[in-house]
Amino acid sequence: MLADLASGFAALLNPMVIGFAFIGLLGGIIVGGLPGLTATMAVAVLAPFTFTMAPLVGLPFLLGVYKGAIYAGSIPAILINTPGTAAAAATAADGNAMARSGKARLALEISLYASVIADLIATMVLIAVAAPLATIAVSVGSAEFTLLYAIALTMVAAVSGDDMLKGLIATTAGILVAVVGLDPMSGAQRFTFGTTALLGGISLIPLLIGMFALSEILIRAEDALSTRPAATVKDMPKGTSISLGGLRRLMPTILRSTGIGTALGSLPGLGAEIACWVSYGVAKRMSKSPDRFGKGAPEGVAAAEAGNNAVCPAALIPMTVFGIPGDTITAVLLGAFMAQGLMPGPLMFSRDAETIYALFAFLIVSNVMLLFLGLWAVRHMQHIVSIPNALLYPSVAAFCFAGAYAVNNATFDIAIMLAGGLLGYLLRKTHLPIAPFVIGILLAPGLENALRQTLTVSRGSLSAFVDKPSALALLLVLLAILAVFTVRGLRPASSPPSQNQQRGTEK
Amino acid sequence: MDDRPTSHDKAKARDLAVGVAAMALAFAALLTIPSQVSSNAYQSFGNIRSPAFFPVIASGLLGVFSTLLVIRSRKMAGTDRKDPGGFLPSRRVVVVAIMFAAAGAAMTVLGFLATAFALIIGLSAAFGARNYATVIALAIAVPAAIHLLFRSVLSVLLPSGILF
Repeated sequence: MLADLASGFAALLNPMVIGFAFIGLLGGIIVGGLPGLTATMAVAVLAPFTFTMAPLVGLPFLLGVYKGAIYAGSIPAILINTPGTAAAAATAADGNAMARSGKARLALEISLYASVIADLIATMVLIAVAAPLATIAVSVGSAEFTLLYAIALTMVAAVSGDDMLKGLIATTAGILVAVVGLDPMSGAQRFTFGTTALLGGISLIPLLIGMFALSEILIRAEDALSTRPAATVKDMPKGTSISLGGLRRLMPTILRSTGIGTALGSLPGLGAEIACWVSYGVAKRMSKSPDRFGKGAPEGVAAAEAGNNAVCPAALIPMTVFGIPGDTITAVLLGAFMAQGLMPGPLMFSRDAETIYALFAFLIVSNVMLLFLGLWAVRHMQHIVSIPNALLYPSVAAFCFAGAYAVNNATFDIAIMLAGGLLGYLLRKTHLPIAPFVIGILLAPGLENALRQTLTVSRGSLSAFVDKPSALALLLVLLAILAVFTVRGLRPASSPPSQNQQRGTEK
Repeated sequence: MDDRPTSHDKAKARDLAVGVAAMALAFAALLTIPSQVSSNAYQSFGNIRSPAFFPVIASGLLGVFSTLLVIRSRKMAGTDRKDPGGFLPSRRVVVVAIMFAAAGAAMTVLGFLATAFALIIGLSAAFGARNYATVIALAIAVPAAIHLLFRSVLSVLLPSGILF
């Protein structure tokens, strides 16, 4: 593994790779720092740019966008009390209170250092865990894979929204969309309605651009966008810097939150948005003075930021090892991997070892880059966060049209993007979660192949799912998840949907 | 007595609408499977090799879940839920959606540069931008930058038409 990692570092010694990764990180920081532009939207819109690049140039660029955006969501949260991404919602609670009391720079630096430390540790966990897990996963049979897909889909359906039943509807609707095209076993056409453009299935990236970017613009069109952010950001990032002693005092909080973010991020459905609140809640509960939380406690900023940034590398564990994306942003990344000819899953560690370890090496290197770019952002982002959305969204829309067309040079893809935009808007308005729908589309081919392969081998008998102890164990896990969530999930939500869900905000 | 619909009524109506729409999609899929997937889909149900095997399961599950949602929305308890938000889109959303559709249609006729220029001006106006000089500068600069990036740097084609 260490030799592979060393060759991964060697592969990064290419000005193109580092140059595009730098641009990606910087772009991610700018996008994440702009309230209203989400990390998922950025990755979806920018993915088509990478298709003509080599995988080792394009994928670090997209991973840079992802990491930069998740980190930078904290900047407007601290400066203007408006999280740049949903994952930074908990940061606003204490970060903005610190900024209002003249400690904006301290809050921004705590956010940066907590993010970098958490990301680095979680990356180490990813590197240590992924290859051994992939070795085990290679020997996993189709019955176990069927159940793994079912567990992932059930988890995502159960926890992505407030309502499991709607999550299940979104999942099955996504699966139904994914069967459009040619049957992988017989080659027969399915739901193509005689349209040649549908023979290859629904084009994924244009659909995702529509669902995440165009639908966000439609949702935001309900607001009066010409208004500037409520709080002034002029001269905010001043004040004292964090000392080494101050950082040392925050380390227990950062390490604990990193553990929480890594654990939650590696499970399907539990993304950075949940990790930041859980980390924040645990930090508050374990604090000797919990009453300071919400009033400018540095531990609150550190906990939330370490929690949400640890999710980034952790979410890549199920994606790279099993090909199962845990949330919407890794779902978009999975689509980008596939467009580059890489098929995430256990075999990727033997077939494309050089690429995957180069990406792991990049994740480590990107933390150093993030540290320097973050220090720049601390000083200069206050000018960028105040750009009016009324000028941003029209520019994003132009990128969407160019990106959707560029995937296959097909006008039909623009139609798919427009349909995706309308569908995404309707899903958000009706509180149907988007994550299960998208992950349903992505996992359906694997689920279908694994299920049909299992039943072919067992001659149609369902005993294949209980014969092997590993399959039986996974079946019991699936049943336990279903049992736990069914009682709660089949009831209507007892609490109102979260603010982010009402607005349909993605991280 | 106030006869206006409560937030609970709105949530109930919304869930009912979602359930009925999903149910319609499931039944439409099940009805079109014989013509769009396999003519003997239902006679040979359970045949793993049939291309209809998986679509039938997916449509069936969607039908079951949507039926459960419809039943649940009919039996929803009377506990009031906080405002679930309106369902109908605002006029600006409709205008923006029409602009998107028009841009999609015009893209291959007028070309990317001209369409993106018009789209940016239209959307900026719809979103309430009043600094016209900035908007026009943006409408020229952004499509030009995208064109330069896609065509010259990445060698990727953009829609071309009678203008550009």
